[in-house]
Amino acid sequence: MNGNDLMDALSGLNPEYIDEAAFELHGKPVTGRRATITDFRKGLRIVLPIAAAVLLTVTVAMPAILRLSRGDSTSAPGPAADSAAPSQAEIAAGETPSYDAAESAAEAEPSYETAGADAAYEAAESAETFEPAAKAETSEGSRPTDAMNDEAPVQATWTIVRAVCSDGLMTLETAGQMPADSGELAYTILAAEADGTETILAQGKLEEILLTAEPFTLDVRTLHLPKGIYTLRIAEQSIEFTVSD
Amino acid sequence: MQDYEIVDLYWARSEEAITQTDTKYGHYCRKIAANIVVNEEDSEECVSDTWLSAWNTMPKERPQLLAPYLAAIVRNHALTLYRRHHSQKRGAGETALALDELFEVAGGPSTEDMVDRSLLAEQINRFLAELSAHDRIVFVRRYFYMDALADIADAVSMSESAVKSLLFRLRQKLRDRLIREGYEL
Repeated sequence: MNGNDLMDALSGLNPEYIDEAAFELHGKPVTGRRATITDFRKGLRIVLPIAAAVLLTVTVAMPAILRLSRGDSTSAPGPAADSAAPSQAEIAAGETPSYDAAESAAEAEPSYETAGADAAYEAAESAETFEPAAKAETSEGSRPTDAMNDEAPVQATWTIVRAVCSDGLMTLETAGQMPADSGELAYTILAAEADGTETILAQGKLEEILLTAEPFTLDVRTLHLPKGIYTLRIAEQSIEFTVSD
Repeated sequence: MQDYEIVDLYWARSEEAITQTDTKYGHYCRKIAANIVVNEEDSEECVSDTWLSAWNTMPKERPQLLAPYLAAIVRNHALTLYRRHHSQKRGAGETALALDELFEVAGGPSTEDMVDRSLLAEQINRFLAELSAHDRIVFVRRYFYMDALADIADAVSMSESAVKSLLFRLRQKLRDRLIREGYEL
């Protein structure tokens, strides 16, 4: 037997083996490294589009969604949101925007903030010192009473910030605009007892003890108040003051 | 068209069988022939002889797989033509190289006994049955289809030297098996 016999005998191979190796009919086998590369490429074809979609969503859609949810603070307001802006019709018609009308309308209806700002500016020029009641300094001469905290919040245009009593003359520092007829306001001076109760020492109308309006000074010399801590109540406002001599 | 339908055409002596066979397996058979005889004119002659052989053997034969059946026929025609042109000379080309390699397995006197060749084919089939599909494909592509080493290496994603080494090991295994079976090599 020689190579020629083997070569001829190979024509009698099992047909399944001949068919198994028929690349021309079934394609080349995907084995080993080729399979790995093929699988990798298949994976890339799936992963890359997904990654691209995620990237697009994060970089484009998400910021837009966040802007919308925050209330669109960075976007330009529409014409309807600003009543002072010229209407679309005016712009389209080529008319001169009615800015003058908008300005006069704004002047005719001053805002609350504007009014408050004006009053604050005027008050700042006076000798009186205006301080928000919440930021009032607590000094030896005065301190907010518990009554202020216990009472239900009352909308007042003015508050007593400090009361300093010296030689029977009590000078009040107030915040806000005091009513024009402040003399008509009722006052009460109370003394705290040891058992926690309060005794009314004097009461009446402010005009009875009002010495000067600026500074707002009350004359309580006739009460002969001994050394101690007292409470002055004017309308709904209360303030403690100390008589030290 | 399915293989059994084409075989039915042969059995029905319909000339459509040849047309369908050429359509489905013409390229496949020409590739096998070209690997052995190289010359295009000779390979066309081999394919034409194959269709004639198929027509003559069917009916009587009813192969389950038509492709291997035709492959074996065209291979035999191509080897006959190759030996006619090259006589005892090996010549160049893959066929000569493959023959040289098989002569490494068995270098004794040739046998004309068809029964012995049939038994030898059976031994080779048993040998191939013990191999992995990968090794078997490499062996069959080299010694049945006469593929070049580079083409085999590309098809199975191996280097040419790795294919060469694998074929060497497989030839040694085949030789050992044939010796164990009592063949004089």
